[in-house]
Amino acid sequence: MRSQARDTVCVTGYKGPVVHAYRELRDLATAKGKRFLFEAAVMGGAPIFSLFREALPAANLKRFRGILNSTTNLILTEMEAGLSFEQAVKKAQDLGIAETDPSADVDGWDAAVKVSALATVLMDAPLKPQDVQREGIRGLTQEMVQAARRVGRPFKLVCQAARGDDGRVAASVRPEQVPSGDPLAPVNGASSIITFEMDTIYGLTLGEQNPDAITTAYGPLADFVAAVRDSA
Amino acid sequence: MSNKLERFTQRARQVLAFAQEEAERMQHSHIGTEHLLLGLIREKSGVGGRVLSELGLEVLPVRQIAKRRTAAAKTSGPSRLELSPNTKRVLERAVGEARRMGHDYIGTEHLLLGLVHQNAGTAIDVLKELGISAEQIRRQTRRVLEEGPSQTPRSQERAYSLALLGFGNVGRALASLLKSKRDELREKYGIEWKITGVASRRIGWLAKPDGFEVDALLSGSYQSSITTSNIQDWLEASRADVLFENSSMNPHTGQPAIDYIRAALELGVHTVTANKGPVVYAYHELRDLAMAKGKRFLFEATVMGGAPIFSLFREALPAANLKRFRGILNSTTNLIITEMENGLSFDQAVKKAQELGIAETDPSFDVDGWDATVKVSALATVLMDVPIKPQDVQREGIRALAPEIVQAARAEGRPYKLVCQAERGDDGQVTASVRPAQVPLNDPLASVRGASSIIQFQMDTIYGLTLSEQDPDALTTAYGPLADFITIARTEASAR
Repeated sequence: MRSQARDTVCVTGYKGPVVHAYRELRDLATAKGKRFLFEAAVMGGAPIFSLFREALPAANLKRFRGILNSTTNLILTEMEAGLSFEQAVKKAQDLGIAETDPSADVDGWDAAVKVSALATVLMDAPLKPQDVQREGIRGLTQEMVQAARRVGRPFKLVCQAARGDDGRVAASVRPEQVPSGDPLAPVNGASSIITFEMDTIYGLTLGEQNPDAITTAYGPLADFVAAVRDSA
Repeated sequence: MSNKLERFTQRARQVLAFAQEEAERMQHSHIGTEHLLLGLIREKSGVGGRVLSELGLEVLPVRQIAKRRTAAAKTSGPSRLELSPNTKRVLERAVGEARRMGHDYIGTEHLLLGLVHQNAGTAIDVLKELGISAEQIRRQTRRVLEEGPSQTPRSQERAYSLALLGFGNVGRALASLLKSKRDELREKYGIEWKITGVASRRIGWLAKPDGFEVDALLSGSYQSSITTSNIQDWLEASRADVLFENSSMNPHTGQPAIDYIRAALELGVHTVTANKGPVVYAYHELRDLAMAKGKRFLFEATVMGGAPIFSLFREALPAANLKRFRGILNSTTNLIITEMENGLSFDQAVKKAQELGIAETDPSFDVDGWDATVKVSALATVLMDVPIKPQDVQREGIRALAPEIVQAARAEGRPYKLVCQAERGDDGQVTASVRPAQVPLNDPLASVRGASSIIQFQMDTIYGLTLSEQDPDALTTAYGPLADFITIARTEASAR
């Protein structure tokens, strides 16, 4: 983040700075009259942060729920189609979606980081990934996943956060069976989805289908245009 | 003249434009000082406008007096309007005032000081008749200039005056949403507001410049208000900054909504509409007019009220070119299909949609696919920049779908949906259609039930982006206009 000290516009595609230092970096950027933007950090192809910043003023987010990790969703889809857990991981790696060590995805850490980033920015609740109740997908066997799909209640790694009546935000990442009418149910492969519940709009859903390299590059491009447009 | 105009501020030029309009309106052959005075009153955000507003001057009475005093004035022929000799002297004097004050620009304050420097002219006569002296204006101008030009946030300076045209479900929901968000708007956005105009076919054109009591409005009491007879007089009597246009309109022409919006923008009033017609039938004209007047024309609630499609593209998806969209955009037909899947007959399903307040008494506009074609046209016009009309959209309604057909389709896992789509072909032409189609269960459209809507966008940069809203109600629809209002206030704040 050294770029801000040099008074340049800073655009990042990484979640770390958003989760661990959002308020500090945001305030620093404001003080310098520059912008700190991070559209690609969560759902690279769906402009969640600018949506709230620009298109949803005076809408207070009470709850969100979604599928935010492509690797695990792809693994679950492949297991439903008949692959073993290891074969599905290998396929995700071959597609360039999973890392060599897939545990950050498989154990739910990547999803927890995204939940923290969203809660921090959109609900102004500075959650850390450790604050998110987390359960990965290692407990799911091929048989369980296939049986769940057969009865029309497929397993998904569901991410959610909700503000309770006491104003505190509680968040979790865990495998759940979702009913067939649920917008999460048809989200297969490397696609993502998120549903927002606000005080003014009860159910707004944003989905992105199978992002590829082009879409992940789009987040930083949009941020760059936003920063330049505002300083013009 | 053109040389001198370069140093005129945007607001001073706006005053001159308004003055010209006033002269045309009175069918005078010259732009007189009275027209200039009206121009100064109408350009409310400048120093001149602030001074005149603080002295209690309003457009309507001034216009009436001016008209009466110039009844004998020569009416204009086909030739071009000219400046009257007095007006020329006022402009020269304004330049002199600016020089005297050491300003390198000519603003509305200089125009006003130039105007009252003359001891003769219709404007002076009008002011005298209203009991306002030149000295009072000079004193007030000095005071306003010493306060500084709008350094204080707008909230302390002046509240937004809002005019609500159409006071049905959406208008009323908007009024109560504004009220419930009053503190949040003040604290988070520095926005103060009052509703100074309400109009509908039933109640007429009512104005109350110091603001209606919102609760009283909602309970149907319109207090002691001014009654006017047309939109121009109403907007002026309301001193409106923003018009919310939610009147009932003819879906095949967009009228009279288009005329209302045009009139408001001409008067320099920002306009927000929930009506699709003006977007479909007059988008480019109204957008260009708004731009020329330095005002906004916004319409977030027109398509999927609960999903901010237009601002998403305007603000959050710069440099993304839309190639194709596809979705379910008509709640009534989607609800009817869902209810027929659940066992109702077509007529029972229509009745249920009517009871829920979703379908009109005459459901054919929805059922025959017209509403969906209007929405497809609005989206294609704005987001793909192709002015498609509803008649250009291939259209097939849902009358051919019997309960047995939709139930069988659902049972085999390929339910029927009224699918709307538009696509730009390789030749650059956009083709659009609305028709019932069976969709597979893994299609995001399949899980959209009841009154919910969905839309998928395919762009050059993002392959598939989906937006959907679940069971919107009147509050959801009122949120679009509120968001548009906040956008307007933000635009004004960043322009200061």
